[in-house]
Amino acid sequence: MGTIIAGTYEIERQIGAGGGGTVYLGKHLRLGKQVVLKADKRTLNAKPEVLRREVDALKNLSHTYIPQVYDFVAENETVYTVMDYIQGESLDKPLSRGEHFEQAQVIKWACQLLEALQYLHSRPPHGILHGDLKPANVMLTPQGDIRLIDFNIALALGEEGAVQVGFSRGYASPEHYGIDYRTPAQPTAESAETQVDDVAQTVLTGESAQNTGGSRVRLDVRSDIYSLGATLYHLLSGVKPAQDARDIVELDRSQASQAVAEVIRKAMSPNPDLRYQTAEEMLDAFLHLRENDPRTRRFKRARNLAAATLSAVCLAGAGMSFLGLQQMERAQAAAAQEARQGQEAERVSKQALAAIREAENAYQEGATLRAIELSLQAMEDPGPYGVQAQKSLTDALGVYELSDRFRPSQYIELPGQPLKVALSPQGGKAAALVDGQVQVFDVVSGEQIADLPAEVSALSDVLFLDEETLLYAGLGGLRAYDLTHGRELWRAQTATAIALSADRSTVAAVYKNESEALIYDAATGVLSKIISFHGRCQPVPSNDRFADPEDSLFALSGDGGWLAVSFEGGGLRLIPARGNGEEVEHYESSPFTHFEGGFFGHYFAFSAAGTDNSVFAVIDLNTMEQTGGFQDRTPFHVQVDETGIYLSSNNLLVGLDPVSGEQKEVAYTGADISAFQVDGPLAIAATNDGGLAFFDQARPLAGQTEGGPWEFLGLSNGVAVAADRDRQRLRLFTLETHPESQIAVYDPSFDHDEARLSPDGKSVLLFRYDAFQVQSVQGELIAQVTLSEPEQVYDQQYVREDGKGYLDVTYYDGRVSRYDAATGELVGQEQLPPPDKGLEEEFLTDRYKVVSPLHGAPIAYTLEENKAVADLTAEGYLTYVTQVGDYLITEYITADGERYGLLRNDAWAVLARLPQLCDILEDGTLVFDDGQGILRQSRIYSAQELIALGNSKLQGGKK
Amino acid sequence: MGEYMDGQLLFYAGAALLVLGAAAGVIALVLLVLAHRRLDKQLTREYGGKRQ
Repeated sequence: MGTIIAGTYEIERQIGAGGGGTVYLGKHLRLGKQVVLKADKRTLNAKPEVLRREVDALKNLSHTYIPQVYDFVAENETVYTVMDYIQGESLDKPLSRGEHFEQAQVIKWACQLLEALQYLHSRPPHGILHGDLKPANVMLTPQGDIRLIDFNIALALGEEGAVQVGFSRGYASPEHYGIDYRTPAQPTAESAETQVDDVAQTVLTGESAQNTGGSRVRLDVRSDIYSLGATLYHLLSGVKPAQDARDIVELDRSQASQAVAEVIRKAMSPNPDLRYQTAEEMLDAFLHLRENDPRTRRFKRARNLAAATLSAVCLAGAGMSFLGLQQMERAQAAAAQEARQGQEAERVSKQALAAIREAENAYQEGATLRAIELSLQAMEDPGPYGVQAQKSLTDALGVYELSDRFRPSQYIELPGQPLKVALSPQGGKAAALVDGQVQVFDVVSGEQIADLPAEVSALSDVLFLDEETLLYAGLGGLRAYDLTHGRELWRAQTATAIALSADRSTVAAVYKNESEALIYDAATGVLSKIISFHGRCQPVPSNDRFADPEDSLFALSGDGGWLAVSFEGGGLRLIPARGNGEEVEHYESSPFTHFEGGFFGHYFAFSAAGTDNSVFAVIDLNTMEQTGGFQDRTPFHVQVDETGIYLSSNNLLVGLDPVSGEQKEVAYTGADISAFQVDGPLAIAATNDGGLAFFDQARPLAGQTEGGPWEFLGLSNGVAVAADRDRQRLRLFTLETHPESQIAVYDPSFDHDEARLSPDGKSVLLFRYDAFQVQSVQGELIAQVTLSEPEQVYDQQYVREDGKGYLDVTYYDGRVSRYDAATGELVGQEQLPPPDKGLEEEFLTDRYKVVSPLHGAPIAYTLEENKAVADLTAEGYLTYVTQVGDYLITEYITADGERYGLLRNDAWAVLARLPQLCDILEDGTLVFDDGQGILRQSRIYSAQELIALGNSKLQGGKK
Repeated sequence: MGEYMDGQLLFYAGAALLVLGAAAGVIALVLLVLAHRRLDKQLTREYGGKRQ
């Protein structure tokens, strides 16, 4: 049995010895646990309280890599420290055997040692310093782990660090030797070196710093760091490090990795300030060896670079794809949009073109307001048809047609063929008898005002009692209808033919072939008299749909006193409509089958036509004697009313003075007159060739139209209506005058080809090839000149120079005579080379040259490139080309001598026709000559102005 | 049309780039894994296993 210590432990055998004492392997007698007892004689003399404190400090230590201290026992003047028995051997043993340790293993031990040191250094209050770390104090367990043993409890760190007690050379830090390699306060390099060398030398010889007489250097955790570094150094290199820290040879690549060598180098830095300052710091360095290894860093760099590059590439690819997709979508959308726009543009273009065509048709048919409306519609979005739309609007507006004219204003579709047409006294309303209905229309707007049931017969009559009251052969009775209030005023017995006295007081009516006429008060419809025809009747065919009501005469005199009636068999009788006067039978019978006539004052005038001849007679009602008359083979048409007696024969219409028999021309037409109406100075005449002509005091007005035959005519207050039995329509015309456009009047008796207004606007020059006249703008003759040798005249040109006008007459031989256009005086003559008789004229504008051959098409060429750009062929011969701002005007003269111009845009497209254009003033004013004594002016209207005008017309029409 | 074809070009170029990038990424991944393993072995050999 071994020695028993404190009755608790049995010492089994000695297992080590050293400067600190002897180490025994023992056993806890009760627990049977193996323990180590370290006997240390030096601690016996320590003060009890110091000893107790140190014991307590050691007993409280608990760490994986530090053996547990269980007890302190003092016996036999020896203090035994009882601690864990660590199996294994201290690292100095294999080192002394020359064994080599792998770096990885050493690093593992280093980490364990550092954890142990970290634990010790952090023990309160000031940490515990090992103080003698060396391979001999590191136990290697059979498991390959280490245990840090044999730290001296006396080296518990005080507040200023510990004072070394003992040390192991090679592993001890310079501080152990009392050497301080920290930068001195004011050292000289030499003195510092000498001091250290002296101290080192002293240490190396085995003396402690205490013996050197130098200053004491306190140990701290960095001393343990140094010792650990030295231990690791020995483990890796197999060589104990030099005692002088400055002489340490760095580990080479064969001994350790650069990073590990660096850690050990830093740990063993002579200057403690340059070492790791804590065990934790050094541990961290070991734990991050992999991370901080350059190869790891290189790998990470390469990895990051690859990741970044590939990410960028993928991102770029994704971005490009996305952008590409977007671009494709955009392009597709744009293409779709373009297609839609193209389709829309095409649709709009088609719509515009359709509107233009419809407008042109409407204009041709006389539906002017409709033409304006459609043209405006086309102008809103004309697409490529802007020029056509503008021309259509210009035509419909007639802005350049300044002559007095009857302009087609309405075209009214009827539900059937008209049998009778009437116009109200003021021309505001038109009525038509159609298929048993009387339809009344507003002349301005064309809207239907009334639709009234009528007696179904071609003999049925309709007329206006006044502007607001309609008198018509209604279904079941003669009716008077208030158009304003839409109500019947009175109703009488059935009737077909109706007559109204000029004074609007009396109405006469007869029903078909009844042999009596009824006389009514026009205001009340009260029957005032029944007139018997004594068995006679007006001719009515069995199917009176085909009857021509114009064949029969049924008329009241102006005061309603006489009724004129024609009868079947050619009879004609004048019957008193009031009182009991005697009837006058003008014809009991006759070969005449067609009667027309009426009353003018106390005259009764009529025409009667048969198959072979026709008569016209005027009868004075006062004497009942015929005062005048004609006979002819061709029928006479007459209009006899309170305005006068008018009759037409062939193509002449005259007004007849019943007293003097004087005839005054009212109209002279190109073909035989088939119907006419006269209203004051105005007259409308339909001709056999289907034409319709208008006249003002025998002067033909512009606006001649065709499209007849025209059987029904009406004319009131500047409004004309025309219709025929064969077509379901009413044509309405309105008199248009432009007095504001008039700039001069002249005596039209001088036949002329051209007219010019003088620059001062005071005179007019009328000229033709052999003569010219100068007149004042009031038509007074100033001068007349007959040209000599007119057959030798090559050309005449009106020239404006220095505010004056001249007529230059050029002869074939080159003579040029200049006449003053204001006075007619010859003011100059010169001889020029004979003009080029080449049959070609040339006109110049800013950008174009127009070449107009005598025979051939006039062509416009660009001045720059002499490139043909337009064919200016039109009806007639091109006489002038004039540039007015952005417009071009080409003037023509037709074979009939009619002059007109075509207003064109800069691309030569025709914008408008300028009928009767005779001159273009320097300021762009257009001058028109109607050939009948009036010069008118106009300016060029822009598209916007035309649109505004059109809208204004429509607004006026809607009112 | 030009814009559409440009867009197509851009789209397909981008897609190609994406595919190339992905393929390169896969290759790089394989190479990096292999390199990492080798490095890991090396470092483990030198420094021992990873510690906390």
